[in-house]
Amino acid sequence: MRAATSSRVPRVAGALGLLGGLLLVVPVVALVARAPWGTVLSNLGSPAAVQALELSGICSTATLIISIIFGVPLAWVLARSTLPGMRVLRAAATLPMVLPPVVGGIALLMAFSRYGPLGRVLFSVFGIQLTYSIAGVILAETFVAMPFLVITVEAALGAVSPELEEVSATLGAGPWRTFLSVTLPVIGPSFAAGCALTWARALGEFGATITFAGDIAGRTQTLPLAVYLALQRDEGLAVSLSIGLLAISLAVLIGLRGRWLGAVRT
Amino acid sequence: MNISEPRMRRRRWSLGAVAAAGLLLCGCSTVGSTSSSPTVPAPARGSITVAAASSLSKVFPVLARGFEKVNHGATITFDFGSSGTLATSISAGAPADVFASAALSSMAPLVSAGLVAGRSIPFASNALEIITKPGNPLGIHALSDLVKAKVVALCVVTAPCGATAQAALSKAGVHLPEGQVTVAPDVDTTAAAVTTGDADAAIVYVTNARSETGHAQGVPIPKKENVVTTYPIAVMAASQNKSLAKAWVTYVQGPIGQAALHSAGFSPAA
Repeated sequence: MRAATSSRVPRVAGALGLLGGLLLVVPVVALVARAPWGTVLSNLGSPAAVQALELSGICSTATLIISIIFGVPLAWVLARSTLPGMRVLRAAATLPMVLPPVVGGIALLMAFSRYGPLGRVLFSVFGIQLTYSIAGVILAETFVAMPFLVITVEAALGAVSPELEEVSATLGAGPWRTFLSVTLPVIGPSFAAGCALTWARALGEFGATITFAGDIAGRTQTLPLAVYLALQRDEGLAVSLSIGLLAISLAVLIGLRGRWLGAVRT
Repeated sequence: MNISEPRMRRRRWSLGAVAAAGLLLCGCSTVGSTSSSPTVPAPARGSITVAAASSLSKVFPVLARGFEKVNHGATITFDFGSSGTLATSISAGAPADVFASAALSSMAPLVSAGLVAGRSIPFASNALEIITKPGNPLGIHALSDLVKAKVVALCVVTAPCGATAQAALSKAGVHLPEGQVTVAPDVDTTAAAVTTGDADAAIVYVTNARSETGHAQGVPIPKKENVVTTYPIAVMAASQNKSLAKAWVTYVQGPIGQAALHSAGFSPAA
C-alpha cells in the first residue's frame, strides 16, 4: 500500500511537497522553540491575559451560537431553495471568507457606526452603539466566521439523499421535525466540524475586530489583539500568549480529526 | 499674466541651456578637480525607501513628488508606521535608506547600535491636540474634559504619540479609566478612530488636527499641559544608495521641505 502510493508520486512533486510542508511547520516550531518556557504559564495567568482570554472565549462562543441560529437556516435555504438569486446569495455568503478582514471591518463601520445607515437607527432609537463594545466584537467575528458554518453545512445538506427526507415526510413529519430529527443527525459530523471551524476562526479574528470594535482592555481587547499589542512592548509576553492560542488551535484540530474519523466510520 | 507665462518659461529654458553649457565648459576646464567642488552635486538617481513616522504620511509624499521632479530618475518608496515599530523593524533588518522618526527616543537605539550613517538631525517638531467629532457635541475643551467621552482613542505607548499623550495627561492630572481608552498602533489610525469610527475624541498631533479639518474638530491643548516631540531624520548605515538618501534628507531640511512642513502644521525643530 505504502509502496504503491510512493511510486505514484514523482520525485519532484515529493520534494516540492516536502518543502511546502516545511514552510508550514517551521514557523510554528520556531514559535515553540522561542517561547520563554519558564514564564509562559505565569504570563498566561497574568490578569491582562486572563481578561483577554475570557473575553475571547465569551465572544467566540457567542459567535458560534449566533452562527448556528442564523447560519444553519441560511445553509438550508442555499441547499434547498429553488428561488432565483441563490447563486448570488451563496457568493455573498462566501465573500467574507476571502475578503481581507480589515476590509470587513471597514464595511461594518460603514453600516453600523453611529453614522452608518443601520448604526444611526440603532443609536438614535434604541441607544445601542455597537462600535467599541462586546456586541461589536461578536458582530465582527460573526461576519468573518459564520460563512465557515454555512458552507460546511450547505455542502453536507447537498449530499443528504432526498429519499430520507421524503420518507420522513410521508410518515407525517413537518419540514422542521424532518430537519431536526432526520437531516441534522445525518449531517452531524459535518455540522460539528463546521462549528469547530467557526469557533476557531472567531477566536483568531483580528482585522475586522480591531477596525470595528477598537482595542479597549477588558471590553474589546481579545487575545489576538492582546498579542499584537504585547509584541510592541514585550516579545516574551507576545510569544507566551501565542503559545496559548496555539494550544487552543491544536485542541480544536485534534477534536476535529476525531469527528472526521467518526464520520468515516459511520 | 496668462500671456506672459509661456515667454517666462521660454526664458527660463534658455537660462537653463546657458547654465548647462557653462557647466559643461567648467567640467572640461577643470578635469581632475571635480571632487573638490561641492557646489555642484551630481543629480541623485536610483530609488530609496524612507521609513517615516505615520504623522509624516500626508506631507512626505507631496514633498517626494517635488524631489523626484528635481532628481530625474529618482524614486522614493515610503514605509509609514509608528516610529517605535519602524525602529524595531529596522534593527531587525528591515530595508530602509532613511528613517524619519517622530521622537528622538525612537532614533536613539539605532544610533547607539551603529545603524545610522553620520548624524541624526532634528528637522521638525510637533505638539499634541485633541480632536473630537465635528461640532464637538460633547463639549470637550481641555484634557480634563476627556473623562466625559465614552471612548477616547490613544496611540499605543510604544509609539511617540502614545508616550507624549500619556505625559500630557499626567501633566494635566487627568486619569482616563482603562475601559474608556481604545489603543491604536499609530497616530493616523488613532485619528481615524474619530474621523471614520465612533470614538468621541482622540489625542493626536496638531498636524493631524490640521489635515482632518472637516472630518474632526481640533481642540488645542494649552502650552503648560502640552508635550512637544522633536522629529529626527538620518541616513541608515545599511543604505545602498547613500547619495540619494542624503539628497532627500537635505531636501527635507531645505527651504522647500521646511515650507511644506510648516504649512502642514509642523513647527521648526527646537
